[in-house]
Amino acid sequence: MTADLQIWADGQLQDLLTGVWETRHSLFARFALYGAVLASLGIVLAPLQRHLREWGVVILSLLALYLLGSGAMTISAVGFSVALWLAVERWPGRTGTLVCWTLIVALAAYPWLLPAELLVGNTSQMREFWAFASNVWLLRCIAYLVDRRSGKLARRSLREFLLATLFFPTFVNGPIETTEQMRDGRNHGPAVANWSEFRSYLRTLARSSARFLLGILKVLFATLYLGIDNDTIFATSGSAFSHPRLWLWPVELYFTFYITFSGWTDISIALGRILGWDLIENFDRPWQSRSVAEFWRRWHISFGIWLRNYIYIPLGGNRRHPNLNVQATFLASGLWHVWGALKALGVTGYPPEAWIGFILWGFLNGSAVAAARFWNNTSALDSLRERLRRGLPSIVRHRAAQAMAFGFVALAWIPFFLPPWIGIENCWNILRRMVFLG
Amino acid sequence: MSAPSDHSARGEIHGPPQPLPRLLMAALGLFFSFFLVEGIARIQGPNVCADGENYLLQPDADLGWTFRPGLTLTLDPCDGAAWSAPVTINASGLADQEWPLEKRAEEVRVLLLGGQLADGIGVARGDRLSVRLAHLADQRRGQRVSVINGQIPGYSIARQEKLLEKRGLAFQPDIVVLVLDPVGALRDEGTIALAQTLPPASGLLSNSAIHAWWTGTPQQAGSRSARLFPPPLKRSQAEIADARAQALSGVRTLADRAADAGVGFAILVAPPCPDAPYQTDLCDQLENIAPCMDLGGSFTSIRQTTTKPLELCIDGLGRWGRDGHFLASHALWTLLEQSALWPKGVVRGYRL
Repeated sequence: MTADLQIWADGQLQDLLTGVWETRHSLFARFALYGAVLASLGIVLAPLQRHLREWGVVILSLLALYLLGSGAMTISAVGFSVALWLAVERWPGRTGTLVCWTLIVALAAYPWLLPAELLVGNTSQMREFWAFASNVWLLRCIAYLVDRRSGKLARRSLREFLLATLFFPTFVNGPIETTEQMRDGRNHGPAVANWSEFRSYLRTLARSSARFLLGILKVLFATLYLGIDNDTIFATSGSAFSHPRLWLWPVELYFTFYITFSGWTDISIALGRILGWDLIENFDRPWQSRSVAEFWRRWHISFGIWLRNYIYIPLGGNRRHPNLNVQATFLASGLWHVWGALKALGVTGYPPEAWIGFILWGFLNGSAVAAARFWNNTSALDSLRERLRRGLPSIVRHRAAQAMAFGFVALAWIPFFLPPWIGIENCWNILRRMVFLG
Repeated sequence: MSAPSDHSARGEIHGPPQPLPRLLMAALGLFFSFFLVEGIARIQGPNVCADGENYLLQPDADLGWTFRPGLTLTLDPCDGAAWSAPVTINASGLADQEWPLEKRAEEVRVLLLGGQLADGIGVARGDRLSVRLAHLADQRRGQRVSVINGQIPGYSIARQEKLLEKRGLAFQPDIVVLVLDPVGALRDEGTIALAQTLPPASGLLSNSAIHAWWTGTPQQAGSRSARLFPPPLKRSQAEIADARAQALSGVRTLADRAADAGVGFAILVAPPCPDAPYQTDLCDQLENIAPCMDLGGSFTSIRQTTTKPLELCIDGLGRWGRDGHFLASHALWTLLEQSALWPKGVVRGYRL
C-alpha cells in the first residue's frame, strides 16, 4: 500500500514538474517573466523626473510588444496610436471625428485589411497575444476618442495617451483602464523622496511580489488541473460522464475561468503597483452576487464599467427602453469576444456558425438582467415580493438568491466555452442529460 | 474603485527629495533585473539560428551520436522568418521530457523511432507527433498513454535498432513505431564530425545563461558537439534497388527485435520534406512485416484541398511543420487502433 502510494505520489510530482516546464514558453509564462524584468527595469528609472520616467515606461511597453509580438506589431501600434492621438487632438470638427472613427474601424477590421502574417507572424502564440491585446487596445482607444469628443476629458499629452493605451502590465488582458483612470491611479512608485517612502515602497514591492506569485500559482493550477474534461464533455454531450460529474462541471467552468482570469489580473496589478500605478481591481468575490446584474458589477469590473459608460448609457441607459439597452450591451460584449476569437483562429478555424456560442452567452445574461429588472420593478408583483420578504428570513433569501445567480451564470458559461468545431446543439444536449432527458 | 497601495502620497513628491533613496532604489531595480534576466535566460535558453544545428548533436559511445543531453535552447530560422521553437533535450539524449524507466501501473508506452523528419525540432512541444499522440488518449476514461520521442537525425534503420536495444527497451514500451522516411532510408548512413568547440566564456560569465543568450550559443559543458553530414542520394537504379532491399531487411530485423522483446510494432511511412517523389507501394512490401500506413496520400490530399497556408514542412529545416505532426498523430492513432495494437483499456479522446 505504501509502495503504491509512493508510485502514485512520484507520478503526480512528475506530471506537475513536466506540466510546469511545458508551460514555460506559453504566452502566459512569457508575459509574466518578461513583465517581471520590465517592471524591475521600471524601478531603475526611479531617479528620473516624472515625465521622463513615464516616457521610460512607454519605451518598456514597446519593448514588451516587441518581445511578446514582433517588430512590425510594435511599429504599427506606435504608428496607429500617434495617428489616432493627432487626429483626436489636432483635427477638430466633424471631419476630424470622421477620421478618428475611420481609424477605429480600420483597427477593428485589420484582420481583413492586412495579411495576418504581416503583423502577427505564424506562431500561434503571437496570434493569441495580438488577439487579446488588440481587443483591449481598441476599447481604450474608443474611450479616449469618445471622452475627448464629448468634452468630458481634458486634453492629455501624447505621453499620457501612449502610456494608458500601451501600458504593458495591462496590455494583454486588462484591466481595461481609460486614460483618465490610469491618471487617477498614478503615484510616485519607486521614485521615493525619503527613507520613509523607501521603506513604504519596499513593503509595496514585497506585497506586489507575493501577489505576482499568487497569480502565477493560480494560472498554473487552473492550466494543469482544471477544465481537462471540457472537450470530451462537449464532444460527447456529456454522455461519457456520470450525472454528478456533469452537475459539477459548470461549477468547474466558473472557477476555471475565475482562477485563470483573476490570476492574470493579479499579475497585471502587481506589475502596475511596482511601476507606480494603482490599477482598478477586476474581481470582487463574484460568487457572492445575489443577481446576474450584481455579478456583472463584480466580474471583469473594468470591462463592465467600459460597457456601461460607452454602450449602455449612450444608448439611453435606464432612461428609455432599458431592457433593449441591456441586450444590446451584452450583444456588444459577445461580439467583442467573437472578434478576439476570429483574430486568434481565423475565419476557417472560427466559422460564423461557431460565433453563436458567445452571442447566446450574451443573450442569456442579458435576459437574466432584464428578468430581474422585471421582477423588481413590476408593481403587479409587489404583493408576491412582500410575501416572500415576510415569509422567509433574510439569510435564506440572500443565500437562495446567491445560489440562483451562481447557478445561472455557471450554466451560461457552457456556450461561452463551446469549442468552435462542436455544434451549439451539444450545449442543449448537455443540459438535457443533466436533467436525465438525454 | 481602485485599491490604494501603501503609499500615502500620490502624484509627485512633496518637499525636497533626497537623492540617495532614489539611487539606492535604482540600484535595487538593476539587481532585480539582472537576477530575473539570468533566470529567464536559463529557463528559455539561448536563441540559435537553425543553421546552427551542429549544436544539437553530440557523439555517443554506444550509438554514435544523440541529441546533446541537457540542452535547452530556442531554435530560430536564419532568414528572420517569424517562427521560433523551444528545444529541450533530456538526459538520455532524446528530444523529449525526462522519462522514468519504471512504468506506472496502467500506463501504455509508445516509442517512436526515426530520423529527423518528425523529431519535432522546429515546432512547439505541444505540436509534436509524440505529444499530440499522447494527448489524443482520454486518460480519464481509459489508460494513460505516454509517447517517447526516440527520433534522432541521421539514424539509419540499423542504428535505430541499436537505439531500441541500448536505450529504448529500458523504457518498457508496449508499442514501437518506426517513422520511416522513404527517401532517407535509401541513403547510406550519414557521417558525423566534431563541430567547432565554442570558446568558453571567461570569469564570472562562464556560467551565465545571459552570456549564452546574448551570443546565441548554448552553454558548453566541455565536450564538443557533433555535426552531421548526410551522404548523397543513390543515383543508379541498381544502387536504389540495393538500398531498398537493405532498408526492408533492416525493418524486418527491427520488427524481429521488437517481437523478441514482446513489443508491438508498426510502421508509418512519412512523406519527406521538402516534398519529393518516393515509392508509393512501400507499405505493400512492408505489410507482411508489420502494420503499415503511408501518409503520402493524406499530405497530397490536404495540399490540394486546403487554400489556407499549410505547415506540412518547415522551409529549409527538412522537417515536418505542425500540420504535418497533427495529421500524422491522427493517422498513427488510427493505424494502431485498426491493427489492434492499442491495449483494450486505451480510449481515444476529443482533444484537438
